[in-house]
Amino acid sequence: MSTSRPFLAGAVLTLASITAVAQPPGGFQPPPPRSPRESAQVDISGRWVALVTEDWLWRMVTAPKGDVTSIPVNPRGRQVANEWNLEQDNANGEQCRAFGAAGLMRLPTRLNISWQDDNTLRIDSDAGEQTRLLNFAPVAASTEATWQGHSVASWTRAVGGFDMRQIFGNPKDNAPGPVKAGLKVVTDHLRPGYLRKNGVPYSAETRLTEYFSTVRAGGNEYLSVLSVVNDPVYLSGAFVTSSQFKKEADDAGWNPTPCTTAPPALTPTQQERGN
Amino acid sequence: MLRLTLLSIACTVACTASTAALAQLDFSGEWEHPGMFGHEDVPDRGQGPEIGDYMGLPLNAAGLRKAESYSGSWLGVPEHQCTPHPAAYQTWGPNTLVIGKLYEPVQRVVQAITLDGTFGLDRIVWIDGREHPPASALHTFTGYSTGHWEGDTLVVETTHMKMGWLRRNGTPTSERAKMTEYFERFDDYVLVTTIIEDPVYLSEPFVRTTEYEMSVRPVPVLGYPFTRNDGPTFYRCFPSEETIAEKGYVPHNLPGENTLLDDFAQKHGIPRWVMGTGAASMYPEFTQQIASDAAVPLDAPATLTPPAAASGVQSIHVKDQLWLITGAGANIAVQVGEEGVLLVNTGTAAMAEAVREEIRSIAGDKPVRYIINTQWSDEHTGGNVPLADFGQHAAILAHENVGLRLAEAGAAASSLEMETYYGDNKMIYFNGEVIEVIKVAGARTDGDSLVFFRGSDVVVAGDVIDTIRFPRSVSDEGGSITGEIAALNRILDITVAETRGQGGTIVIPGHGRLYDEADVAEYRDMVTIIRDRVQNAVAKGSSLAELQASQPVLDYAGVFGAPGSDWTGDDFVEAIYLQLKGAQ
Repeated sequence: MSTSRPFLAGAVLTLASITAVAQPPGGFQPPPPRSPRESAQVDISGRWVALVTEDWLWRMVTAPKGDVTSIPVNPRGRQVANEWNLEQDNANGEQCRAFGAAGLMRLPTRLNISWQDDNTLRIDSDAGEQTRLLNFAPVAASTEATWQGHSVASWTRAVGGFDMRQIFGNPKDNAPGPVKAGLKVVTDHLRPGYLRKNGVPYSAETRLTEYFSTVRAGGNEYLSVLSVVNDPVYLSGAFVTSSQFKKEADDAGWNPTPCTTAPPALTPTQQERGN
Repeated sequence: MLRLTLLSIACTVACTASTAALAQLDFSGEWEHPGMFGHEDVPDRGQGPEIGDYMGLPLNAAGLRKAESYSGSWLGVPEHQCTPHPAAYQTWGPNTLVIGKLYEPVQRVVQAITLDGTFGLDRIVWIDGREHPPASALHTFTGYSTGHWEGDTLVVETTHMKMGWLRRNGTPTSERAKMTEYFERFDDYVLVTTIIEDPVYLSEPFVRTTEYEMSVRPVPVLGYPFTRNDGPTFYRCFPSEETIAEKGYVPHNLPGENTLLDDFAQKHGIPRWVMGTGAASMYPEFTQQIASDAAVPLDAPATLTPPAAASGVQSIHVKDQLWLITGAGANIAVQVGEEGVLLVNTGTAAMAEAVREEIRSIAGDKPVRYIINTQWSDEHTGGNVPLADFGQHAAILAHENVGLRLAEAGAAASSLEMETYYGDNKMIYFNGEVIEVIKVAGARTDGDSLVFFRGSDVVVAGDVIDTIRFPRSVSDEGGSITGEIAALNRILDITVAETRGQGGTIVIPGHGRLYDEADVAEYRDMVTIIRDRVQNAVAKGSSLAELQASQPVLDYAGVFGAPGSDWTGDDFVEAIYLQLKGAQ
């Protein structure tokens, strides 16, 4: 506290002085703002494949109806999960319910992430052939809810890549190059879907917050996605997961498939017997 | 004035930036998994995973064999009861996490980051640029961690981990595993990306992400989440005999006889072969593989070379008065005190001069007063004569069969001037502590001894333990698999762990790194399990070729089967087979 006060006082004084002094005509011109693409704090573009090392029994195969293991559903959510009807979904053209934004990143899928333009990151998945658009610039949300909703993206380090460690930290910790940080994405306007293929629901009031980051290890690059699902209708609290992807050199594994959900591995009778 | 203005502007920018940027940099605080167990794999992290849940793990054939042989009763064995969550599992297990800082006392800079929690053993991540210990150093369940910053990310590298697990169902990590963790902070969350590379049990890196959220209440530390917090917070653990079992009993499943695997497949409606698919099961295309019901061949374990040993003769401090010298043949234990120097084993004759120099660097000009040999071979006794003359003529002590074996091998008369014993033990008092020489003859040879330094709490095991090779229990030198297992259990009678199954009594093996009780128990388990597999084959009338084809050392060859060694896993199996066959 004793060291921060003079520091803070200096800053306040400086701010005051800058405000008080009139700008000279034709004087200092700030550089044009950099686009989100140019100011990227982390490069998540490329082709990625999901590494399903967690929740395998709920992600790689369709879990039995009513299995809400690990998900903080409320009684209403549990009831809806118990009423899941795959045949009815298929008949109603609702095959993509498990491929909406709140469930998509947990699916066994490959992703192709690219810049659609300087303000928009695009994520394509081969599972369900879905496309997400992460908007850095203000874009009006569609009035109609969609499987992938409306996403607003921002870099987690908001101050133009200014690295405080260069002042306060150990210089040897500063590798040359851009400061590593992450990407935050908030998504809403979602069409109701499933958190898992076996019909565990999320509602149209869902707000999905995601944090993307990458790490390099052993010659590989990995993408991590921390996902926080808030749904006041079907969840009793935030549903928090993190998923990991490995970067691939090419699109050899890219296998676009329409939204399809296999029936549960166990029939209800088998499930009852097993439990 | 200009300088002052620039400084003020910099100050302003820094002030403005600090709120946002520093929030990304400091992980200090109290964290917990969302919903206590997290929202992923709750059955795994709560009551524990089922035997057979091996999917999504890049296990190779060796890893799968070890997993399938695991029995849940393993945790009932007294030596294993207090085993904490190993580092490779810590962030996945149900736990709280308190991240703190350790300050260097003089310069007051952050020297380390501490990771405390309810996972049993705390971790220290050194960020002061220090190196990892040498390969011969003790391994722990938490390992040895160093960290550095990559932008906002704290990168932690951990080595020197004991045998551990990825899930609490026996899916293994080996002592050769290396773990890299990336700690990142996003708003009120900490994301930990863990990458484990293990050439012994994994065919490719295992990647797991774990998330913590900022705790709104004080979280327990060094306790256990299910114990009351009104008592001592230290997590005590007292091993006890939970079942009536023969001394040295090691619970495990023989290959192909783990019936729980079929139960698991049936319960979840998946083909049995799915459990044995390793890395393939992690990738999206595996969903089509399941649909086609076509089994995937499992990756064979990689051919491994032994861990890189320090080149030349080197020493590390073991504990109290004890040092370890490596690189001169067999390991040499050095006790240094007021009265002088005592050596246990002396390496080869060719390395004696280098050993003498290393002793001088440890003990100065103190004379060697005693030499104790744990067995007769040249790499244990070759330096006896030259090192005995280092200072004063030292007394050489060994079991009488060591002298006999040396004489049979044609050793020079000067090598045979030794004090021998033939009873169960021999005790001397030197440098303020009792040193007990314990006969375990019949393990490696008919002249084996353990040397127990009571005051320093260190046991020198000789070649009863070789941490990079299977034990060479050959009958033509008077050794046997039965004697080997008995000797290992004898060591376990002596060792006492300091806390949570590790530390405490330190064991210096004949070759390789330092051990403690948990390591000896794991080594005993390995020898016993392989003995049981061979015994089962003998009982079924299998030929030696049939036995070898079943790869009875598959899950241990990556640690103990150094290629190019003059004692391979096949040699070990053959030796056991012939002994057990002969006993029929």
